Amino acid sequence: MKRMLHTTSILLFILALLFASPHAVLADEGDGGHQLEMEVNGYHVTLENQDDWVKGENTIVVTLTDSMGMPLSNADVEILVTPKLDEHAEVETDSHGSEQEHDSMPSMDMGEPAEETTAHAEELAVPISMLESDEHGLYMVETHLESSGEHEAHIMFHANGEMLQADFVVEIPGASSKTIVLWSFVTINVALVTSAGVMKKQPITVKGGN
Amino acid sequence: MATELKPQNKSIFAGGNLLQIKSIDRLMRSKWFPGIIQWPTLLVFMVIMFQLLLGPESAHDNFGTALTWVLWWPLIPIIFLFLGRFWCAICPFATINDLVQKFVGNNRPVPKFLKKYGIWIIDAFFILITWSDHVWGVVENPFGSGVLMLTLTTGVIASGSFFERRTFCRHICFLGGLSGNYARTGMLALRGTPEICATCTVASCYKGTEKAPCCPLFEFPKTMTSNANCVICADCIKNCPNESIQLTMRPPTKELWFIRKPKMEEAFLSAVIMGIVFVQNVTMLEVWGGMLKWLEQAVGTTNYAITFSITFAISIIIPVALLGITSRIAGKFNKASPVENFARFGYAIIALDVAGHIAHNLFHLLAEGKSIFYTALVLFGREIHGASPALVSMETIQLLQYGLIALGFVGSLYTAFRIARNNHTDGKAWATFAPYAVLIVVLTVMNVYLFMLPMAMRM
Repeated sequence: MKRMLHTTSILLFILALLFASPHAVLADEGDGGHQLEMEVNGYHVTLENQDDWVKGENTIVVTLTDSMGMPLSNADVEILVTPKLDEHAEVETDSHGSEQEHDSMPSMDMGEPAEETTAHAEELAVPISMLESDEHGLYMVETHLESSGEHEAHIMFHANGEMLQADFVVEIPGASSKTIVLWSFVTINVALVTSAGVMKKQPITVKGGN
Repeated sequence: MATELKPQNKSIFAGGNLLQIKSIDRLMRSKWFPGIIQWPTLLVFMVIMFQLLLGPESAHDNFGTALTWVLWWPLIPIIFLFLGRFWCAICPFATINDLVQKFVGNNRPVPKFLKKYGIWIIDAFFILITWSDHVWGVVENPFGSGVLMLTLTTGVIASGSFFERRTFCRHICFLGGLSGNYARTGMLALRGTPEICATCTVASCYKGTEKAPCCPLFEFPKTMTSNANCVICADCIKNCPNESIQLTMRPPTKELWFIRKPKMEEAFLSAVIMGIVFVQNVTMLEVWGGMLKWLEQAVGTTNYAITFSITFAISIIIPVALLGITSRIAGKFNKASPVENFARFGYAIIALDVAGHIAHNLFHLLAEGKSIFYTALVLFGREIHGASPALVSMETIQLLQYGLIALGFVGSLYTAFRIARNNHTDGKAWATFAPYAVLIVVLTVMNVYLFMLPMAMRM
């Protein structure tokens, strides 16, 4: 039984180390599914993730309401999520052919299309149509995000014959946040066990005694 | 001589000792019990932790999420009902506590404040954890669930490092508090035989011997009147030199009929649990989105932490306030103070709590049960898309839910009646019982209504 205890303890320790290995962390921590919102030409647009923003599969939810708070149905909503690039090397792909429409949109801040785009950015920059759910004015889509960091989410929708766009920035935290959390737990627990080991009263042995 | 006395030989169905059955007796006295279940449980826990912390980020694909929230969480109240707090004997957190204690444990006495305010602390933790689950999405986020488990692990490591026995399990663990309350309705009871224990002066059950450790939860079978803090680890059975310990079956809720010293904090917890079952149901209803929108407009903010906190507070306040009002009305008839009535009759709600809790989680177990299999396949690189995770039809689940609520209703009603009859022999039993009967009907109707509405899934 004692041997089994020792073996299990060693196994536990190895597994604990494995848990905490920063290299083993596969992906990012979510952002808590916070709701972002903005007004565009009197329309209220909200953007949220059904769960958390993560690198990988995300279910994006957009709600549209008019100035009276009434849901906006059949708005032909599309969403484009791209990694945010720094201002000096701003990349916006026009592969979807909506550049001209963009130019006429209010509340747009798309920047000028850049001459050079990477293949990866192009791949991400295809707008996706969102499906309206049973609830009017609520549009959903499942999408895969390839990277972490700041992303721009452009929501394009039709209202009263014109195309409008709402731009949001969402943060998909990097792997480091998970690693920090795991290492913090390891550090606290190792500190606890070490202090307990140090403070543990040792049995008093008297030299020469029986 | 104490050794000449033996527990009475009665049928196990008439409250006889289950240890009369040789196989059960052998199992309980075996040095491998409960280790033979405890260690595999710890290994499964390791797999769960690995999946939660490092596995797929979507709850839908995470085996750890499926095992924790679709299998374990729904099964746990059922275990409490049939086996009392036995889960706590094999709980991986308790095993970690014991391991740490074995190597570096300082075995200091439990701090006085924990002894005094332990259940209030548990109440607060339980409310806080449920609140944070909703606000931060712990269940829906595998990593969040993993962090919750790591937090509990840190708690037991701290406790095992410095304090004696299972201080964390007895005085801090929110699940321990819940299980303590639920175990009172449980069908398994462990007690000393009064005639034998009366002559015993060694108290091996409490102190431990070379055969087995002392009672991990500081219980003394000689004076035990409740199973709220007995984990059926069988250490006392192994340690008792007089074979005084009996393991018996009893009707569900029986312990609640005879609470000698009712505690306000335990009664409060039972009302809080009812509120938490309400809030769990409400937020999983498909109408929740509409309710939330209405609330956002009413309070003028879309901040979920604020709107949920309001919903949460209302859900908890409703059963607590209803119990308080009922206790005040009952006080008019039995002349007891509202606080006294609250503490005494709060225990009657526990049966309905357990039923509501099981019924709620039955939905997850039966409507999403196959997701355990699907997510297990993901571990081996296979994925199944578009298949239903349901084990049975929604109609069957709803029927079972109504059945459970009906059983909980009967259990609570009968418990309230027995409490009234046992404490008011002056002809005021029926008058005292009547307001609580109305309360139990109201709470049952609220539960039934919530279970009638379509519910969203976890996975």
